[in-house]
Amino acid sequence: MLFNSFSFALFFPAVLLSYWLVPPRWRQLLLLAASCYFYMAFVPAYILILFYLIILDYTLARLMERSQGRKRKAYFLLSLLSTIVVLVIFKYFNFFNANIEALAQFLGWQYSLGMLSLLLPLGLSFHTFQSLAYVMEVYRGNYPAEKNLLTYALYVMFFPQLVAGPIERPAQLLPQLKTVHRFDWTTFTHGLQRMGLGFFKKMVVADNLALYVNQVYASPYDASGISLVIATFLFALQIYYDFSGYSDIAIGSAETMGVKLMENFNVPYATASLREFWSRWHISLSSWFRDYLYFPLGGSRVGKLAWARNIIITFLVSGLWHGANWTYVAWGFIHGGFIIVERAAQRAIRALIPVPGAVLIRSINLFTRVGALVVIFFAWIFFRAGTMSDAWYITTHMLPRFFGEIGALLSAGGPSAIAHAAWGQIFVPLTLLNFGLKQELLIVFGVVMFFIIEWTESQRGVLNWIRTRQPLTRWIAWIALILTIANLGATAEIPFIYFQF
Amino acid sequence: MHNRLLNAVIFVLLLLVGQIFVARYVFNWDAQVSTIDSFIHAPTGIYYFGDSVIKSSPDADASHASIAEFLGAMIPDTIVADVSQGASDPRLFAAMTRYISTNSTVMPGTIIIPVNLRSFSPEWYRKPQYQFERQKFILEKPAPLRYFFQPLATLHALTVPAVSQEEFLNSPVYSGTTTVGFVKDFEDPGTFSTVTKETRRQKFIYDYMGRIEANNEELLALAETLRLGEQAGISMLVYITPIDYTSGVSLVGKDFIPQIRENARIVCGIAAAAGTPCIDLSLALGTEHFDSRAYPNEHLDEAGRRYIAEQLYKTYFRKE
Repeated sequence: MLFNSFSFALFFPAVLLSYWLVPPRWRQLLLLAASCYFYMAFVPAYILILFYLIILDYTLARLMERSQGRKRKAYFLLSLLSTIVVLVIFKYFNFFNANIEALAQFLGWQYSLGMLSLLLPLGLSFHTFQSLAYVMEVYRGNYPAEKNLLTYALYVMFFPQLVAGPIERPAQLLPQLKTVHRFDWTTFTHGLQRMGLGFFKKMVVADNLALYVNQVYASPYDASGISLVIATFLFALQIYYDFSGYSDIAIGSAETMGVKLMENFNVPYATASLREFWSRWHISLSSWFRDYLYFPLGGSRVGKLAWARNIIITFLVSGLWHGANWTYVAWGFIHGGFIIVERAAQRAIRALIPVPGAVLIRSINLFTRVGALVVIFFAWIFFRAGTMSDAWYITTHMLPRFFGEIGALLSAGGPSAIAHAAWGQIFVPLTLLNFGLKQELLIVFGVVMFFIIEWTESQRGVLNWIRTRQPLTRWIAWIALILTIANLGATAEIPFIYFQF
Repeated sequence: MHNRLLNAVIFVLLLLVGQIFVARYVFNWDAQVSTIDSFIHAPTGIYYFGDSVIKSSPDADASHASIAEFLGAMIPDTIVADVSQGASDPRLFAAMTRYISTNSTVMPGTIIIPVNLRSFSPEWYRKPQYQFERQKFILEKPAPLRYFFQPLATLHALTVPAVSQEEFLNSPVYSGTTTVGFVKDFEDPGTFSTVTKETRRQKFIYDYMGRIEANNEELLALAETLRLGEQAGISMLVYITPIDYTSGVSLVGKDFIPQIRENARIVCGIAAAAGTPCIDLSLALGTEHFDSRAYPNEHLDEAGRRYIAEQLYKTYFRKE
């Protein structure tokens, strides 16, 4: 079930009302039933995968808690392997199989293992990682194994964050699921407001931008340089608001039931460096990789080469986590590689100029900030492109074509002619879809709103800003927000990008 | 707590009122519905449906009057409402007829329904932009609900677009009952940006050569339109708009005219079944009357438009 669907508009109020009306002892069961229904709206049979993982990890965690030494480790490894096997079968088998086959063909070996024709269960990477976080915390002795199977099942299946996170830790979520929450009007309305902001980000900004981006990236070879540059820029905004919008809805809907989920974003494009970006972007996943992969590998408390290796491994796995495609691996590699370059450059500057002046510091900071954004936006090409050859084509043709077209426009006429021609050229992909001025203005509106929201978020937060206005202004703002979503939201059904992972 | 609930109720009410206001005054209420609304409370005698062919005219013409206006000039004592709209087809006519028959202060005497044979081509009836979901919703739903099209579409409670671009491009194209390709083959801008004899031939096949099947969505909508009109006591008149058959014959060959006649016969058969008169004007005008465009279109010059109006006048409205 999509959050931005009519089914959810019926499902969520019904669940919410029932949640606050049933006796507290029934709430867990109610949420579990609701979560099963929510998940089964996609492919009903895949609920069995969730049940399998839940029962397995619940049982092994209980056994792990009671054991020590090698036995404890064996239970841990069994749980780890069982979860990874599910991931491999459903997500990675065909990818590895196809690559082995290509390699075998290259080497002249005989290799043929059929492909599996399985649909990827929705949000598989998310709930498996949440299960893994639980198992690892229990194994490390940081958190006791949950005794109640229903509570643990709800930890894995809690519908607001079931299919795309935030990937919660047991210490954060499990106690909240066991607490009897009292209805609090302020928390309840804050949750609804947060959902409203999420819907705005997703339906008004991200989905309207998606129409343009999808058209260009569906056939990059036919697109102009201007279109490719604009589409890449818009995709950077789209993916952020698509996922951040989802996270707002997830966090907000949980909040209406008294459950506080972790924050997933913190104005990521306002980052001062590439390294900092990863403490602002998809925080629940980046902190997962930090705690359960990067730190166990040694983190930064090792030599320079080992640190670089740890960074590369972490980002390659992170790329692969997103999807079984070399484009995601390349995306991870670009991020990892440039973090190493960034740190090396910082060290080199410090070595060359031990006591830099204020102007130099400001210049370096600006350069780092702009450089980080360029890398982030460039890497999105690989994330969005359908294949590596598409991504390669875009990276090698986008800028030469772009500057060629801008040059042609400059030599064609005066400023107004350029502005007119540029407007036309920018929106060629929309005219191919027979979309007119309204859609063009919606894209401009989406971009403007993006920057207004981000600027406000970097100051005191959009929701806080509205909440601290006079009652009349507040009401006008909330009504305007809802009416804008209802009337300017994209009507085409565009699934959340992160649902596919 | 009671105050908060009261506040919540007031908030929801304000939201509903706000939505009606926004739909009616902010986001350009549907122009076609506004046009129809301007006629339903007047003593309108004739509604003239149809697509852009009714209106459009070459720049060279001395008069830019539409066919409806020419007809109106011939029967000055009757208000002829030109409610034609680019790319509309019988599916929209059904919604318009239902709306007119249930909302008119004075029931009109006649509705004229021009049927463009090209509207049965997938180029037209499968095109996402020609589905008019919003307009049909406004015309068909009761007053408060008609202001909620956009929110319902945004929530995906309605399927908008009713046909996706992908479905459109993958729709089969027929010549007679034989599949000759898919829409994507005939919509490729690379192939059709250069006008050649071959590309013109392909477009004529694409636009006119498919046989209209009995279960065709538009044909069923035409039957429904006629039923609704007759039920409301309105005289319904159907005619088939002329096409540039001379070019069709020279490009497609001898099969062209039989297929056009066959399709016209099927459309007029639906009218006959409803007891509605139908004039087949599909082969009435030569190439010289059509707007000179590279690819098929049925837009007529002044003489052509006047001819249609005269035919309608002579057949149905001249007082002996």
